[in-house]
Amino acid sequence: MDGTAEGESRQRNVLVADDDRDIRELVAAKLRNAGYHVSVVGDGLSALSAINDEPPDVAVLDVMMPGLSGLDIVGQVRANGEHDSMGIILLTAKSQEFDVESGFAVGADDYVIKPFSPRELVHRVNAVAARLRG
Amino acid sequence: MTLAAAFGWLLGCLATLCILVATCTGGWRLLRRHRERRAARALDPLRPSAYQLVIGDPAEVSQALRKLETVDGAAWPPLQDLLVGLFARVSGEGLAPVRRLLADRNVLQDARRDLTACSAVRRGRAAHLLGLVGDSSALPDIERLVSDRDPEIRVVACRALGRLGHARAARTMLTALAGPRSVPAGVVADALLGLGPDVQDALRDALALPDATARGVAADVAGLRGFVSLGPALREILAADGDPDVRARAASALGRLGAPAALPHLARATLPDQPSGVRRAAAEALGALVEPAATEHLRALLDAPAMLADTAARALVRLGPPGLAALQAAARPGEPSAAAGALAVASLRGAAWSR
Repeated sequence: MDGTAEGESRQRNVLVADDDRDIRELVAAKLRNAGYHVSVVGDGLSALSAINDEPPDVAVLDVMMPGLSGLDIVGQVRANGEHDSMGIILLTAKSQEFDVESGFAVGADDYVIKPFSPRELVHRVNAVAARLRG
Repeated sequence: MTLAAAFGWLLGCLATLCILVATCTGGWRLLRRHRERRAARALDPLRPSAYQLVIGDPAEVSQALRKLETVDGAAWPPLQDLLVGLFARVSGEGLAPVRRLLADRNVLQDARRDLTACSAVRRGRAAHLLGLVGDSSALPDIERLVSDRDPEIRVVACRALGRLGHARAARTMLTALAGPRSVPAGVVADALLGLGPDVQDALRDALALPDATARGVAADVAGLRGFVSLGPALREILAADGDPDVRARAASALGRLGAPAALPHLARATLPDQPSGVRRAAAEALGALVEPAATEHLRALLDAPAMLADTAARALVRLGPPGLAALQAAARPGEPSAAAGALAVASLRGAAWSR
């Protein structure tokens, strides 16, 4: 098991938003194995709605999604200041690496380039969640 | 038969033909949709096992392997597509069981055989699959496809070589930039970016090739990969290459490398006796070096023709406080200039980022 979420006083919530079903389900399964409570959505608007309805501790957002991009979501979430304590990790394809700078500028905490190691992603979620605890 | 009757008969034939074509197209679409639904239905119960292969613990992986090894019939083709597609989505040692399953099901062996198939579609699919899965044993055969008679196969082969990541393929791809069976420069550059650090020797040699496209691509890749050891060769190209475009790309590469040793060479390339494209690229690269010593050279360009002056002004912004001070000194109140424009943009950007 890679995670550290188990054994804490409260199970941490992670939102996974990606329009690619395989990535969505694979990441969700890996994070569940690591002890997180995971919810999944397949487009940007659903992701924003899920964040506003029940803010997760960490959101893993694909940059390129139908409806609303991951960058747009980070911008909106950070702009209204309501979910400042939420960690955000961007998933980006190699060709969109230039978006990473914009992602950090609008308030993302980390980014992972596809194709990615699921194990590494869990470590990054752990690190972001740990920073939130700190 | 009268002319009107013949015309009517012709219209009737055309209408019948249209109905036939529409029926066939609709039927084909329905059939395809039905097949896709059937494949999806067959695949759904297998998805969790496919994911377990990648993320499961050893016991879960063994269980998933046992289940997937026996999949046959209509369920195998979509499952194979899913398994191969995983290589484009995830990386790491978790893919080893997937590779083993594909090998056990002879998928890799069939693909290696298809690399020499008469059908271009089969050759292309095979090269794509083997590159994605990372089957290094297919490297020589995929290298041969870089000079395939079909231009699309040449592109697929280059991309596959980039995914395989072996530096020995670099020379094959750089050579393929010229000649009757060439590959687009962007495809080769992208593939070269995927190769290991050993690619530096091939890039150094390519910087001396007679083909300007190869020299330009080698310069781009050297800069993007940050190969500092190629700095001296790039400085030589910047100073003396016969092609202004290659010189401009060498300047950009030196900017990306960020080595201060390039500063005097870049400064010389901004002088008025140099081609305009080289001057602009060198000015931009001076900004990328983020060396305060570049300030004077860039300030001297603020009175140059508009495009070069704008580039120099943006580069001064990148230099930070010394560059901004130079711009403020050069900007005259109420007068449009490159310096004033760059300061205005920097101020807007600063305001946006600090929000």
